[in-house]
Amino acid sequence: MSQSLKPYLTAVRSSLTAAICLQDFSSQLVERHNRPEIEVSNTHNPELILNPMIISRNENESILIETSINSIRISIKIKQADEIEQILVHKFTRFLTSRAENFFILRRVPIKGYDISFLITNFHTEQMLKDKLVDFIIEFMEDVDKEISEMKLFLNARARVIAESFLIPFD
Amino acid sequence: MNSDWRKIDIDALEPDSHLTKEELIPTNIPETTKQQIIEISQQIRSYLSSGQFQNALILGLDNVPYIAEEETKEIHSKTIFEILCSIKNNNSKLSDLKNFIIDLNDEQQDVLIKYLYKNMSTDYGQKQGGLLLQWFEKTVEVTGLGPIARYLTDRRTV
Amino acid sequence: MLQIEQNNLLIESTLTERIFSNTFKSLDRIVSDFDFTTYHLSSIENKTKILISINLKCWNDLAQYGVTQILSEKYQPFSSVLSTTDAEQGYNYSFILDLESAFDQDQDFKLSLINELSLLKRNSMAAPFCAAFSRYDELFKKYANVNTYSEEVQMELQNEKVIIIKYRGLNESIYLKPSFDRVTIIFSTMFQDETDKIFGKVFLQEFVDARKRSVQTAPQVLYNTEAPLDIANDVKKGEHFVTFVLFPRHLTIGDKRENCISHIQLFRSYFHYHIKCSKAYMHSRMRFRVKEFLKILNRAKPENLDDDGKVIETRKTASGRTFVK
Repeated sequence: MSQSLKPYLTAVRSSLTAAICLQDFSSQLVERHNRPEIEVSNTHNPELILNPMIISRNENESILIETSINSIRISIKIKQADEIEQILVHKFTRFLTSRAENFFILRRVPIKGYDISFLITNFHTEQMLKDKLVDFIIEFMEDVDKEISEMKLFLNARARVIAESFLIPFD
Repeated sequence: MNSDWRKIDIDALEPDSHLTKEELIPTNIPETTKQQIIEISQQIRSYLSSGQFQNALILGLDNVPYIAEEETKEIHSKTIFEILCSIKNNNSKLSDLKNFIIDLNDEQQDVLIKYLYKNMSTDYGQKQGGLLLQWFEKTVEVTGLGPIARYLTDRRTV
Repeated sequence: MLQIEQNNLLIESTLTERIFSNTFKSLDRIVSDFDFTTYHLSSIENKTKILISINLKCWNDLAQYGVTQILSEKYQPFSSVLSTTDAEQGYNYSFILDLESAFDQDQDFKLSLINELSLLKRNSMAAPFCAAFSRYDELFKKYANVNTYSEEVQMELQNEKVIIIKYRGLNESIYLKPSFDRVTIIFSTMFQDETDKIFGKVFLQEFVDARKRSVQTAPQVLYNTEAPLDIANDVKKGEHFVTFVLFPRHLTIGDKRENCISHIQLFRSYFHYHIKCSKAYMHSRMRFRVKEFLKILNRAKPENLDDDGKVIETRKTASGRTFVK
């Protein structure tokens, strides 16, 4: 594990642990509605939205945590050092978001400027254990990086084998 | 009673009782001017150059421009960033950071967390992400999650 | 499967079945191959004969470089059973295979007949390559004792005609340019989407580097997004260019030259095939990873769910009894 990854993940873990503190809350604007306040354009109820947190490891890797009374939105910017990583991250996140219904907390569309977003509401925290949800986010962040770099290595290795086995028979 | 009661505009009878963003800003804090902050930052620099890191840190964390122009807040946030950088650069061991944090009072620790988050969202802070994260890690080790929760809810933003 | 087979498996198996069965059955089969090639195999004259036809996108280009002659030479040894005929409607070239006389031939003859027929596409495509390579032979002789650095010679070489094979219709082509010490082969290719493009770039970079690194005897490979000078006035937007420079060592007359022709023809198929393979692999890998993520997420659910997120209906007590509902 690289040197700055550990403090990064620790910071995300403690921030999330503090931030996921959600309660059921009916809409103040629309009768008999109950909606994730963080997703509603909240000019009317600014008191329901808490201060957003940004934790960054560097310019290319950061996480935005936006909290409200009954929902929390977590957006992750995944490291993309070059074209290949960009395309891999893009494919991977698309793969995930197209399976969002299995992932309960995954948001189908990421927030602008980030690669993938999660939305946790009080209904999720009622059914699932909060600590384990945090564990999931952390493991996700760790594994995505690992997976992307492994795929990139694989691609390069494969390209090498293929080029050589095409060129060798000429002689 | 008016038979046309369905047409009564009830919103007119009960005005909106929503809070606005401005109303959330605390009112019991005096405003800080740009001039004051610049003076403080000069004093902090002189502390830093004479090696009085703890004093610089405390001075910075005690004088927070909660109610001020965006530009003023920006200046102070950069000043805090400078303090954090220069403490880190002059103290190679991570455990030294911890001692600085332990010597702060609760209020100062809360403010420190606020500035760590704030700096991580800026360009210059992101370039030094590792440094800020180390500070963050050590602070949470000392204080626990309290300051983070207070950061979330405190309307006295930095 | 790393390499793509030169021959067409379906033709091979169809003919093997027919020729070795010693019976006449009706047959009507359309077989396809790379680069929009199609074959038609059908039985005629009371099922005693098979009509074999091929359709290639670039037949007109091939015809310029004597494809019919090359094919008739190639299939000369089999003339006792194989006769050419007018091309079938909708196809470019046809053979008639006489099954009755084929049955009487010995094993080796049958096998090599089947093999050569399954290489029909390769043999047709070989025509322009043969033409380019024999032009190289001529130039090689011509300039053997001439100072090739002189301007006139350089000019002449510069103006050497480029052979174009539009083997996939309009967009992607092969360009051949012979010289006295080399034959340059340029493939123009397009990528289906952004992913293909980036994967393709990674692959081509390795093709370019391979010669420097490990396969010193390989042809030189170059990769550009802009058309090389020789063909600059004949290209379309969005095409990428892969240049192979074949040196005399690759052009030694005989098996080596034949092998070279077979091999280089398939470059585009090989290249795109492996891009698709890598994509498929990435896909399966992501699928696996997503499943793992789901498992982790499901751990967040309290006990009565299993790893796949399904509710475990019968919960047991420590002593193994189930709860009564």
